[in-house]
Amino acid sequence: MFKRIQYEDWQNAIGMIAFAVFFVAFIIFVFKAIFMKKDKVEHMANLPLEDEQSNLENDDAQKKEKTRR
Amino acid sequence: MNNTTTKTTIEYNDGVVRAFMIASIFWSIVGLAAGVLVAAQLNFFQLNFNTEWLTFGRLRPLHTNAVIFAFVGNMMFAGVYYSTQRLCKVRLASNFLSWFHFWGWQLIIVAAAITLPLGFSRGKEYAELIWPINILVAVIWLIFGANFFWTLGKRNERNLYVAIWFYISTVITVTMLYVVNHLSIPTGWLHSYPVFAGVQDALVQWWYGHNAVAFFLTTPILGIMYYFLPKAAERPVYSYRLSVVHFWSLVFIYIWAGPHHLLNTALPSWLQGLGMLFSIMLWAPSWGGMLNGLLTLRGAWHTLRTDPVIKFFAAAVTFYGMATFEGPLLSIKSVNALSHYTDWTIGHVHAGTLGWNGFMAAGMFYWLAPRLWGTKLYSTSLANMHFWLGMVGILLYVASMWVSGITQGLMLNGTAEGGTILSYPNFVETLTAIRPLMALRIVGGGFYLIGFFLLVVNIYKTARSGKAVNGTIEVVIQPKTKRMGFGTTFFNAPTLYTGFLLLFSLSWLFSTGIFSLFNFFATVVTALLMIIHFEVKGVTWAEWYDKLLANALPFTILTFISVAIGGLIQIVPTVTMNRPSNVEGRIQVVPTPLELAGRDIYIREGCFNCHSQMIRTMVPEVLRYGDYSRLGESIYNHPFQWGSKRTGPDLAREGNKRPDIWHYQHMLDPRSTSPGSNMPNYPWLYEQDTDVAALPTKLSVLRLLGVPFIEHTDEEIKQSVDSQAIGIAKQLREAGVYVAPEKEIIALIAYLQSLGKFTENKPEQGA
Repeated sequence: MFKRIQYEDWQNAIGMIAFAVFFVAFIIFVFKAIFMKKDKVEHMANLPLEDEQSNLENDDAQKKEKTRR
Repeated sequence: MNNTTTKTTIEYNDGVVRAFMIASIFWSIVGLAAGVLVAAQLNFFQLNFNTEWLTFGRLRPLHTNAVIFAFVGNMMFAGVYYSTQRLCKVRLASNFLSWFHFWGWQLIIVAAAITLPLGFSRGKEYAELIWPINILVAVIWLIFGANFFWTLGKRNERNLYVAIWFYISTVITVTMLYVVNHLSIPTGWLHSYPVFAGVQDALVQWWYGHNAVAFFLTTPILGIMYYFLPKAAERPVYSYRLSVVHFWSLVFIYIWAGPHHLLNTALPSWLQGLGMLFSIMLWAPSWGGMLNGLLTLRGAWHTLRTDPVIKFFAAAVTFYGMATFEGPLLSIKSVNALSHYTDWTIGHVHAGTLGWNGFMAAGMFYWLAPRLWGTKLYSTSLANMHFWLGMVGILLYVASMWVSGITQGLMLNGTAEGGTILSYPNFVETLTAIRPLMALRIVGGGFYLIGFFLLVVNIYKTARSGKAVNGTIEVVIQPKTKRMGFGTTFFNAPTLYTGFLLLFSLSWLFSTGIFSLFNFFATVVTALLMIIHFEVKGVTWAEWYDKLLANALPFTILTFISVAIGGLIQIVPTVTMNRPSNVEGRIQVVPTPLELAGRDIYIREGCFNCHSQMIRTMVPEVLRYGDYSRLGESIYNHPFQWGSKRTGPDLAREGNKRPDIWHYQHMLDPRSTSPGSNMPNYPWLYEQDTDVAALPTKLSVLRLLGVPFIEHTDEEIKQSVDSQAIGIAKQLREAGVYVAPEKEIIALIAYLQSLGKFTENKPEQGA
């Protein structure tokens, strides 16, 4: 279909290169995720839960918080 | 440097969050109502009332743009602004930019709502808006990006929570996708031609189209999920580690998967293979994210009975899992042969948009409204009713589209007598078979729309019962820590080792003889050195990574590299591939000026919404439509018109199949030539004149883009148009009808009769 010299051979390598690049990157971020420090993970996971004074009227969460105190 | 810490109270900018939320709710009604109307038009063609601006081809883009960019877009901005302020413990950087962003986005939506029904279209799905609006979108998006990154820069929380990562990937990837897919050269204030053509345009379009789903409808909503789901469930995300893997895998893989929209077409097979491979790989991170979301509800499942917010979120995440299971399935070439161009794809898309996006939006609004107006939700029962109406609506819609798609796919692909004849040669027969299912879709969509009307009432009453309040927080402002520079980001041991490892391993894979041996040893030595170095300096390496996650700019650049690689590797080779001199075999005949004018009418009327121009490499397609389409046969098409759905038959080889009078009668009343057709009538084409005056500019722009039009004076162009138009009008007169040669129907007939014309391009010797 195209100029054979350009596309018939090396095009098949692209899938393999793409996979190899992804695989190396995958190993790195899985490794980093597994070996994250526990206190760091806990801090990060709790970030959404530590915010402002609730504006919610009759907020259950706020009530619980007050009870705990 | 100031090393003292100070305490201060910050008031969040929740006014703009409220505004985006209200806008999202308003546009949800418009977008969903337009969806129900166009669904009804597929069953009752009369519903366009013979009015051009109410016709399906023009309203369908209005529906898709309204739900994607207006409904989900505004919802996304509300969620991003609300959560970013809280996660960064800082007010939005600029009130002016925030409000400029809000009003600019609404202006874009209004402009789209006016121009699309008027027929101003670029002819590419989800990228229909004309170039002045494209520029406005780019400017407003950059303002959003500037405001977002500026806010990150001012944050009082050192670490960037994973939701922020998803937002960062959204901002940069959408910028890249939008700019590339909207590169056009204007021919006037309301019209332009895309710089890409044929197969390259198809590839760029679906790289954009697929990743619009990925980075506009998925990643920001995942960020919203990672923030709002823990808030609603009052417990942290199930696994933060899993969320990290989810993020990187998703941004890395998603960008490669676009070619799965072009399976079995004239797209080179290596690109099809790549698209399929990465689409299947997407299964894992998507399900990782879904499980992480659902497991966050561990211990809170009992709230499903009472809390509508949790109900919406749990269902949304489940639909995310379902849609991301179905997506890779549809990307398998053999499954795609059945599903593509049918309602199965429509069912898949709506499971994602109605189930995942719509329910996440509803859950978020019900959670936010009481907090933004300092009150409690007006009615939990009403919200529950909304949930069940929506759920039944989605199930009716999706199930009917699955059955419809599979039915039509099987009928269209059905052959008899050893694959030599079609089982259902009449296309309309396959359409008639799915009519009841198409009607059921209206009911499903209607239920879903009614559900959103209940949301409008509930949120309105909630807002009325309270008053607008902004969140506040007391923060300790820490002294500024040293930020990472570019040098530290890239020139460090982990990055360099990774680069060398990749270089040597790939060289080993593709070299031979002594080079192969050398690269093998170099790979092993690099790996060993890396391990030894890590053992000695492991802590420093970890610090580098931790710093990276706390520094928005280097992190953004790494994310950009992850997403840009996929696009570059796929798109760049097609630049040379799509040149006429590089094409062997068939090559498209350059259209005449009248045919070009007809093509622009075809695009204006949105014919590509129902008709494809791509005969796939499959026996039933060849039996039904003619020889399969070659790459060179659409090489001058700016934009390509391969389509994505066949409500009507393929038109790639429509030229000279039928006499002009057939097309004349068909466009006037499709049922007179195709009994049972659901295509609308196009009476205005018989009243309006062809825009010949615009042709000289259009031809010169296309010539600039590489279409080999012969240079003509304006007068010569007019003569060419007149001569061809008079010829068609004469043939029509001989067949018994009179129509003036300057009418648009003549240009459209000229275009339709040109479809499929090609010449043979002989390969050069020795090439």
